[in-house]
Amino acid sequence: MLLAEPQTHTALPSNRAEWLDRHLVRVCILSELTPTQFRNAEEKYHAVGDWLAADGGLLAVFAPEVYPQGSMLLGTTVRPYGQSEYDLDLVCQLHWCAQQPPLTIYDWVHERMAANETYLEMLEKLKRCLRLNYTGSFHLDILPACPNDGNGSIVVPDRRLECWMHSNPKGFAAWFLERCRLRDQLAERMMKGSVEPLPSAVPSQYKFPLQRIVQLMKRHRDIYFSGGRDIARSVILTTLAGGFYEGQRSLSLALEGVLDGIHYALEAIPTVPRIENPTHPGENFADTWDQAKYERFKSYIRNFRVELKAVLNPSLTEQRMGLEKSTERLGHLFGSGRVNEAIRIEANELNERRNGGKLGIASGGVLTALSQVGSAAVPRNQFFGR
Amino acid sequence: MNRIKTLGIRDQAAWVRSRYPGFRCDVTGGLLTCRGRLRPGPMNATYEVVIQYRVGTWPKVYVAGDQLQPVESGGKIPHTYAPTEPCLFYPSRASWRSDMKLSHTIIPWLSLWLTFYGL
Repeated sequence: MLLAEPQTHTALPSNRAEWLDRHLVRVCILSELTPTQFRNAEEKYHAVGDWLAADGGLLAVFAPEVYPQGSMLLGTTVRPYGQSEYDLDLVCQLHWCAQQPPLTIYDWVHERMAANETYLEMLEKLKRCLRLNYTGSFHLDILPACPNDGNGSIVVPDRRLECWMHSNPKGFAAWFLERCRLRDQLAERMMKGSVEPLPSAVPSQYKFPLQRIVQLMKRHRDIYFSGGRDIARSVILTTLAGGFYEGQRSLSLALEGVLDGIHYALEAIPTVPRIENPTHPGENFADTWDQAKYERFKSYIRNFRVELKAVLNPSLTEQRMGLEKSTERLGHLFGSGRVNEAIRIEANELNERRNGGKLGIASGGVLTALSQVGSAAVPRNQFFGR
Repeated sequence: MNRIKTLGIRDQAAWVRSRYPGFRCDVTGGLLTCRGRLRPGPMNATYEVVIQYRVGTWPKVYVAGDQLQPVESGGKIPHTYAPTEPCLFYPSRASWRSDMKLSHTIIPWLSLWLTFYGL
């Protein structure tokens, strides 16, 4: 429902930012759930929801409501680096249950899941959630929850601390999508035709620049921290990106702006800052940071920013080296496999354009779309020789 | 068979100059030499290129200096006759004929070749 990026470009990129915008979108699409995987995940989560809420089941009296949270709700999923399995998070929200001890709620949801033979084989108990392992494709983390007040705020059991933790996934998603739509006229128009205030899930093909920014930050994070224990939480990246995004439509320039914003803000704070939940100001997302983790996060942002700027505004020497130097830098940021695959897709698209007789050339020798004023058609040819 | 109307060497030069004002074209003893710079897209390097053509022969194209490099050192760049000489078309009358303008075929093909080379 949220269409924010034109998928068929009639013009070829005329500057580096335009080229980078398209390249980065290709990298994101290669990193996220395919439409088939997405539909599959959706089917699975509806089935889980139906099972948990089924009449006659243990939980039916609590009228459980199952909905996605985290990256699936925000439209910011990326495949974890070096793995094929995605993390997808669901909330199983019961009603009239906040007076119960947290562990009881957790056990009830576990018991209901375990009553299904198929689920029993895939089920795993984690600190706050129950995990269903769909080996080879994804795992669904089911977070048992009770409502906290009427505003979408919930409490979730923490098994280790045996207490209730506050959370508000719907409120956070509403804040994030509000940030996505910042100054976005196109999206405003699209939203008027839509009834649902929150997307149940954002289809993978069409996304706002801010959603892409979060995907790219997660992707570089996964590479930069290479699975280490001090890896920065996605919710911190999402909060900072949403906070510093200023509504630019160009993905690469918006990303540059976000990294500038975070960089200057953090460089001015020498000791570990609080990073507050924008929808629950008492909650500090950075509560597990110490000085070392904070420094590491700052250097991740610094590195990202420097490399991105070098691609957008290369030195003369690097300009002379052409695309090769840029793809090397982009490979450092997002993984050379992903970047090279995106380049192959670009080459194929150019070939299709040429074969379709849709390629033009401007007087400086710059390739353009044939529709561009002043361009002449590039006739078909067959490059020859080994 | 349709007769083709061969374009004269000075007409070819005029077409190149009019479409690519940055190119320098000289005709010496029936040999046209055009030198210029091509930058096929915003991410590409700028290449110094030379086109040579004599009526009755295939046009030849060179990329000056050592601007073209194979992916692996000592390897070969695909679609080249020599390290500085891209092959832009299959040498047959179906691909290129003397009634075609260099400015409308060879130069765009070179730009496209350089784009694929860059990718």
